Amino acid sequence: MDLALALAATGADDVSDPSDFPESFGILRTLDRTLRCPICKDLFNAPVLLGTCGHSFCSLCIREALKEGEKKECSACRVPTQESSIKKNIVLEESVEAYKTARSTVLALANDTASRKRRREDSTNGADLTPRPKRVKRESSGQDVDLGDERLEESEDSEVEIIENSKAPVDCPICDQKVPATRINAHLDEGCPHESVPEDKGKGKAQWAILLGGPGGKKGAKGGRRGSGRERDRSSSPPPRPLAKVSYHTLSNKQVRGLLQDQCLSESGDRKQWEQRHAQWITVYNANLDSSKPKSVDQLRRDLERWERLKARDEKEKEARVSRVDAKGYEKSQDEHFAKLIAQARASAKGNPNTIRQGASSEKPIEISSDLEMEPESGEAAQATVHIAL
Amino acid sequence: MTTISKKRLAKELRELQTHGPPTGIAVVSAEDFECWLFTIEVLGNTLYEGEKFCLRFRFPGNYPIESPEVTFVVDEKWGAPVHPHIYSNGHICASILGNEWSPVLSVVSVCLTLQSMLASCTKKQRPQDNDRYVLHAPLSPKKTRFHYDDDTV
Ligand SMILES: [Zn+2]
Ligand SMILES: [Zn+2]
Ligand SMILES: [Zn+2]
Repeated sequence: MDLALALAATGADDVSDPSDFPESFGILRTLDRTLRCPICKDLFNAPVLLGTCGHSFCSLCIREALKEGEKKECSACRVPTQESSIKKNIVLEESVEAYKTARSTVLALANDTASRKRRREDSTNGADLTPRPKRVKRESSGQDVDLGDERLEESEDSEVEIIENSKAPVDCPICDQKVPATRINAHLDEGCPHESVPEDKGKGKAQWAILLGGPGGKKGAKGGRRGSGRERDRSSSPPPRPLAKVSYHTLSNKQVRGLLQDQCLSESGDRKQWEQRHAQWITVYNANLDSSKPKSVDQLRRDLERWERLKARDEKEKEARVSRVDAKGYEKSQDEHFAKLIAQARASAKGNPNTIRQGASSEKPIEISSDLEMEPESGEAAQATVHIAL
Repeated sequence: MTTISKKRLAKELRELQTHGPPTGIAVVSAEDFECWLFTIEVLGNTLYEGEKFCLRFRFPGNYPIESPEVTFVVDEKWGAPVHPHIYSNGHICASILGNEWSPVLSVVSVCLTLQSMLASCTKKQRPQDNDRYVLHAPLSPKKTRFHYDDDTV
């Protein structure tokens, strides 16, 4: 079983992860991990703080969790909380944005240092003329850490192969466009905008310059300007207010449609879909307000449509999978299956199960199975009272 | 399956790849983002010494917001551990798979919890209502409304 192959097959092998950093740089892995949302394990996106306990998440992640969970509690520590305790975490967002800008450079430097160290260790008595970097023995961990400072002077000849690799385009799992690996997360987050794969000029010098704030380091300056622009934007118009949650069960069909119309959302599908669509809209709309680079409302509507499409596809695949699995099981042990069917039929108090079962006789194993699958929902859900230690 | 769940599972897969699964856990298959299989053993001096089981994870489209469906595989090759919270059809009554699920949990943390649930077992027996439950059980244990009414065991 090859996990790498499995990852490649899904087209999602480009996700960044603390383990991108070489093992000898445990300190950088730790830094990378602390800037990730505990729910999606991605670098924080529009981070928010729960005022009730102090834990931080991506705004969307914690809003989804609070919406789905039976109990309103912090996903990390289970302290009770509610949507109104969600507060923007501005400092964390700035830290993460700065880190995102620096990450590929830091990664390249770390990998470079690690590979030099390996080569040095491979080559016997001084055949390698690379100057030895200072090495510090860390008392606490006993780990060897190379200091990067001497590497800085060597930037002329440093090979930044890793950066080059990470710029290779990958196929987006959603829209199948070629997207630079370093941009895939942002691409997905932005809802698949058109991408032009840029020329690969990731030369060592430029990378160093970015890190040192030199001539190549335009990114830092741009970031600053963006910051001040943001302030201006904010003062010019009052900040939009979050949408209130709705308890749909008290509303008529007409009122629910009215809610959709108010937000310029599609009225297609049935009542259940309307409610799901509107509830999801409130979640993504409010989460977007917590971002310092909010998407346009139009973009959000497109995201919502995409979400619905994926959801529908997912449900269809799930159904197909259940049928497949059960068809297999059926072939394997017909007898057992029928024994189960009979048991199910006996257990079912509703309808006329025996006729239904006979109708779906042996030529149609798939239908029998999906029948089984549906039963506990339509009839009495199986109840079990047991002891639990967890 | 949403982008978020795919990305999250990809990260978990990478984690398994880089650090390897915890002791006693081994990946059997993880070829897609719908169903993963693991073998699980309880090491040390426990009632399950020398036994090996197979765990199946199925991931909903909004994982990790929604919990995965986790069952012990029961077929010609594998059986469910005899345990007061594990039914003979492989369904597991564990609160973290139900109302105590949290999206910060992961495949590895579920495996570790189940491992310690087995390790702390003092008497090998099926749940009291095993026969009745197995007869009525839905295909997915997520459709069962378990009652986790005793925290002291
Ligand atoms: Zn998140
Ligand atoms: Zn908390
Ligand atoms: Zn895309």
